[in-house]
Amino acid sequence: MKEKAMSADGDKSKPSKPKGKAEFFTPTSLAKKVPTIGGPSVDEAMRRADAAVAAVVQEFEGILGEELDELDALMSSYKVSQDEETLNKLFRRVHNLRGQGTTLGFPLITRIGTSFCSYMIERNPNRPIKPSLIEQHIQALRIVLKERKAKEGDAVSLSVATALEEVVRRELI
Amino acid sequence: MARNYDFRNLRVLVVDDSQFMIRVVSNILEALGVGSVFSATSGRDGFETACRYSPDIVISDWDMDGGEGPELVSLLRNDPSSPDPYVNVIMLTGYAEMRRVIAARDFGITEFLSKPVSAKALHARLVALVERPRPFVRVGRDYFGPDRRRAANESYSGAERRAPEDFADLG
Repeated sequence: MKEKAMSADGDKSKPSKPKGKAEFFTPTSLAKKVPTIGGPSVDEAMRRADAAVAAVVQEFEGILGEELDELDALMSSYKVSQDEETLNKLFRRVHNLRGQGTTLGFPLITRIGTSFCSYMIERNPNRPIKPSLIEQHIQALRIVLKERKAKEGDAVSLSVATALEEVVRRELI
Repeated sequence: MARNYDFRNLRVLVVDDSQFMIRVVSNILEALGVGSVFSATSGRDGFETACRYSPDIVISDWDMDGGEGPELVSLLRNDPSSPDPYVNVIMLTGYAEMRRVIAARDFGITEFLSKPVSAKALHARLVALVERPRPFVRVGRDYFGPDRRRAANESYSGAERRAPEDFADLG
């Protein structure tokens, strides 16, 4: 394979003289494949990249609704079963939304997701999980989308996010 | 003079269990001029895709269904069938806590990028990989990956300090 051959032609196979237990290697530099002239200017690259992200953002709003439906279904299931597996599925989905939110124009999704993840990861193990607090986070995510669709600003979402953060902060003590 | 990096010869693999994040990162990479972008949705799938396409850079999420990011890094660095144990790995994560950064470093990642992803931050990481390549180090069976000591700490004089000749062969 071409790339593998390139790897072999560098200095990678030449470890430096080991001093103690450490051996050093110099990988083939990426600079050989990346000229510093001929590409777009940084400003042009940023403009193109921002436009590329904007195209994805437009689709995210629709997908977010479907994702929240999935979360509602999981939450309903968790309220009955209260099992670890369903909780982990909830965590993973909210965790993903948290990572995507700000990038895709929903910073409050990230903020509420961060509150949720903090509760799940850092909670005091001596306290039982509160399904009601988990559900409030899921409902808060829904409020964010509802306000966005109704073009109502984000006053309610913001106050809900702040309140959830405060409750979680107390739960972590 | 400003440098206009031409990334068209680069091959980048994006690994994330969120199709949306794959699209976001891939779109940014393509907009920055990266010539070939591949994707995978789990650590295991990512390793197989890396074996197939031999990327120059792997950008991987930390937490994924069906295989974790650290597992992927371990396979890339240590598995006999790895296409390139020296491949550049940018770990992407929603966790920006210092303990995560340190843990990621100890798994052998090259760069760390916290979410939310921005074009500016991703561009900066690509430039860092080009301009400041990391030497690799193998410490017995404990660690193989980029040298974790990025900064020269002149004030450190402990037993772990490396002598200047340790770096003699490094370009």
